[in-house]
Amino acid sequence: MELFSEIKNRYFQLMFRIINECAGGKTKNEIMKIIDEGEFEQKVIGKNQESFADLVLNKCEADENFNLLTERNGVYYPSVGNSYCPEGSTRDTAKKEDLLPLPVRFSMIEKAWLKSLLDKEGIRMVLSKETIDKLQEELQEIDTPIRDEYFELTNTIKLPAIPNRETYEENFRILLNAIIQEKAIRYNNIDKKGNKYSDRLALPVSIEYSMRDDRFRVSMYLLDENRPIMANIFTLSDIRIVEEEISIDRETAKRLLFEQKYSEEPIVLEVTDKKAAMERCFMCFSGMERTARSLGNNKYEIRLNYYLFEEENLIRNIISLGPYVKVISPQRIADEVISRVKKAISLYNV
Amino acid sequence: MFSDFIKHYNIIRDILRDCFLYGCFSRDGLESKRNVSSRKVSYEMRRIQQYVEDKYIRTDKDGRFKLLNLTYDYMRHSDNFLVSTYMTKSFTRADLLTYFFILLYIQSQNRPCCLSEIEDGLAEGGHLSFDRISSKTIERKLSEMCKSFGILSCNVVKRTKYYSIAPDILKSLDNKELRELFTAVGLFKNIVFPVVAGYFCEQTLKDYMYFERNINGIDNHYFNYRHVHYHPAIEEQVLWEILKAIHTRHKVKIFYRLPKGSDLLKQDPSNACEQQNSKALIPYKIRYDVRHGRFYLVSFSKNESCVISRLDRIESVEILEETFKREDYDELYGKQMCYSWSSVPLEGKSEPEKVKLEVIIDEETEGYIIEKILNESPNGVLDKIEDGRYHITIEVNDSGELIPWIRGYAGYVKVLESKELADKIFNDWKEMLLAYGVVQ
Repeated sequence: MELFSEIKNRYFQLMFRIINECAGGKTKNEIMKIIDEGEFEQKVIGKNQESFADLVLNKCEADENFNLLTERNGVYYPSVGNSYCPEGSTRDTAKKEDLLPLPVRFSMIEKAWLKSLLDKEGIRMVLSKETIDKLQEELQEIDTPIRDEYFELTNTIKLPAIPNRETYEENFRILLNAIIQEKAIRYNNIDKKGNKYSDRLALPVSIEYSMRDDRFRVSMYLLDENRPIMANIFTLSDIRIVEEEISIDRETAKRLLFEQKYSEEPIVLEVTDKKAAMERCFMCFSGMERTARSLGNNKYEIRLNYYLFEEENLIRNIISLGPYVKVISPQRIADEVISRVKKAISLYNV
Repeated sequence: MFSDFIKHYNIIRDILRDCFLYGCFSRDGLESKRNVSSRKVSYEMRRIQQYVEDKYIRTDKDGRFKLLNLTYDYMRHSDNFLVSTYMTKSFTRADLLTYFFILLYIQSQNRPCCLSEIEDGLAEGGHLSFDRISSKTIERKLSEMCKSFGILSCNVVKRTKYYSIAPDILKSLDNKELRELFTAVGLFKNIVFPVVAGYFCEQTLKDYMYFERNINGIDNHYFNYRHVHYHPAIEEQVLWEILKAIHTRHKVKIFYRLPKGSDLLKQDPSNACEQQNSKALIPYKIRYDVRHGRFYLVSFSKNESCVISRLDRIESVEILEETFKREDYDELYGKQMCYSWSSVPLEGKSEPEKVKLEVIIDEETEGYIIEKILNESPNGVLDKIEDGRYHITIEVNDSGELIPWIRGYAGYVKVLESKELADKIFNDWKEMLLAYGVVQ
């Protein structure tokens, strides 16, 4: 199967949804609402200027209409099958008695991907053994081309092995459950410097995965100190979900993290596009909000918005890009780059 | 049927890359950069604006020029917005109608059906006009729905093919297990390549939960990702073709564009936009540079030389009939790529280069620098000379691959070996200071 396939076209998917939603009958307005939500903002128009909605609702010429739906007393139903439901019944009641008009099944490529997922080391932290066993049995005939042996990741960071894998996995599960249930946790922790913290109260906000070091960390809002923090999952201990009332929800905690930690002033870079400097620069900073403009003469200006906790990494990345990338502002960052480069030169002069 | 869609994903790959990675070109700027007509550029730009969600598109003004820019923030946006560009393949009216009518009919019968039953059933109901859609078309679609899409199964009884809905692989999972699976897919959809397939999987699962199990209002935004680039999704159509070839042990021919500055281009600049065809290659492995988000294909030619191709430069892949034995190349791959930091093979050298670095730190407060350097250098060997002074020896195919990394440790690292590398880095430092107007 092709990755780029018409059955994954947004309008194919929309048609699929409409037909199944119509199992219990839908009015024109209800269908129009589904179409409005699902189609492109700039609606597609057919060769003879028909809209998708007109084709679905059979409002065009007889031989142009899709006729996948049929209208009875102002209500539309799938035109094939026994899923016609009397007026007043709903999709839910219809479904219990009849087959869904269109079955939902994974495509070949999705099954191949799913099968490869079951081989991932971290999968056992999310799926129970029973679920994995059941899926493995169902997918045993699938011959997936997505295999770890065909890939090699480079420019990664190899951190020392996690000392107690079982505790780490258990911690991961508790934190994920706390996030799903939007509950606070209490925990103990030992930070990088060996400082111990006991019985801390925090709201886990999200689990962060880093592809460079293949580690999961947890982003939390520390309720004891009203500030966002990031913690290694394996250093936490005695984590338990608590029923204590807390003054903040996940969305607010996320917003505070974005607001408090986002730089007020962007870093402005001038890039001279030599030795693919521009491409390397854009790739390095691809996950950051940014704008760019051409300055002419093979020079470009990039403005990067960044999180304050990323500043050190950002400075290192800027320096690593070499002489064709220069910090224009803020002056503080430019000074830091200059100072490091001077120090680098001084090492050669010793 | 709708002109807004495209037949080949390749049509939008370049413009997506340019808008996403650069974002600083106006229509005129892009036109001259890519050497294509203004009409084509504006047509493609309009498509991108249609395919990608508004919140990821930023339009800026540069004088009279309008700039289109695709941008996101890894903390706020955990969904790869480029995946939606894969939901744009064009289809014909016959594609749409045959697909849905066949599915509706077989599902309504709730039993295996042969071609003539399906045809008769649909004709009797007046659903398909056989003046416009032939029996052959339906047969082809049935075959595609079995073999390629996988939504139907086919059994042959006395030389007649019977089609039924493919088995439901989720039927043995209860609702709690389905939710678990949904969370797992949500987490790994950005991690397991091709990520586009992961996103498709998540959508199908969501539909399954909603339509087949009546589970509503599920959310999957529990995760965010660091060092997970979104732009490599643009190359996943090519990646998928290569993976199929690697897996089935078929040789490939690749059609690619020459990089800027290549010798062939220097000889003849008019080659810039032309495709070059490779000879038959043995596709062995995909290397993914996590730092930059770039895929490389490592392949071998007939004479066993190692050929590295960036996937963003591959236009298309032809899978050949000729096969190979993968195990024949295991040793060769190890030899060629074992000391490569990213994509440079050993090729032509008898052994890798040795790079020796001196790291100067404040022993009390900067010990983490040594830890970081070691974690980041795959085969680095550490020697403590004295407190605050360490030597690290690294073997690498091409020391040029280390330069950006070494630069990142400015002020801590001095290159001891090789002299060429030390000079190169020292000159870079001087050039950098000059760029800031600092004269030493």
